[in-house]
Amino acid sequence: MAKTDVWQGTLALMVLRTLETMGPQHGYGLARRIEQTSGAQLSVNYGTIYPALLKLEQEGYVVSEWGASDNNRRAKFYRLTRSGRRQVARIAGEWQQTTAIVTRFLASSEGSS
Amino acid sequence: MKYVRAGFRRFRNLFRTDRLERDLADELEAHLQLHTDDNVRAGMSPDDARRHALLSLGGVESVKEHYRDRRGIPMLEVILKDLGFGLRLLRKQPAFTFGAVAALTIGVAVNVLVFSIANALVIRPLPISDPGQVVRAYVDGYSNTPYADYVDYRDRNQTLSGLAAFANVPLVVRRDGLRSPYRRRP
Repeated sequence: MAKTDVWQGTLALMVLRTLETMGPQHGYGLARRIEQTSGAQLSVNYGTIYPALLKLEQEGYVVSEWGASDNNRRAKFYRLTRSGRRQVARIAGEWQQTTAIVTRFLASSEGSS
Repeated sequence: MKYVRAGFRRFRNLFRTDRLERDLADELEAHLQLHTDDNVRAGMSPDDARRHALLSLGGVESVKEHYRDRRGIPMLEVILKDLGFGLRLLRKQPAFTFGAVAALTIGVAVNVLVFSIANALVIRPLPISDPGQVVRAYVDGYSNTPYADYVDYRDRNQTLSGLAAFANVPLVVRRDGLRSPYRRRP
């Protein structure tokens, strides 16, 4: 159960970050891009992105509207809001801090054994 | 704060299911079409492309279920569905429904009756706002007062806000024709 929570949190961060770098995108495009960037972790189930997008929309980090995709198909596009941008910056900072702490910790314990 | 906002949205979503269901179906269909197009462009046959897109999505109904869990308030929705189902069942069996409603009505009515009596006699306190102002009045030492006099005192006095009287009646309680040793003193 905890693993799913961590995964969902990670997925949310990846969606926000991808929207930040790519600009407005539809669900399929986001899933594709995240798969490429994260090294095939998401290839199992593209469907997980839709509940994640819904959650982000409910929390106010993204907004959605219908538009036309590159090959002229009707698709629902998602866009980062201002509070979404703030959220990316905040979580990214937290992640880097956690990673730095853990890395330092792991490195130091090698010397003592 | 984002939880409050999300909570409001989810509650509101309980009332918009039709439109939201259509939107969800549209969005997933759009996803499948985009993926299928990409697959076809990568060289798959249209059928294979579509099948692969469906597999990658992870099952349309499964995705919809997860989406619905996040969209509304699942516990509330389940309860409401159960209520609707129960009501439909009751409508189909009028005899049983009538019997059950009658039994419940009688049960509630009896309880209300018993409690009202108990409340009036036992539980509810006397309508006296300040016990310190209750006095006991005597006319001639501890002797009895005629009823007519009591009425006059009650109606014509200007000192007391009200006046009540009581009488002691010693009773002998008989049982089975024998003279019982118990004597009831009120």
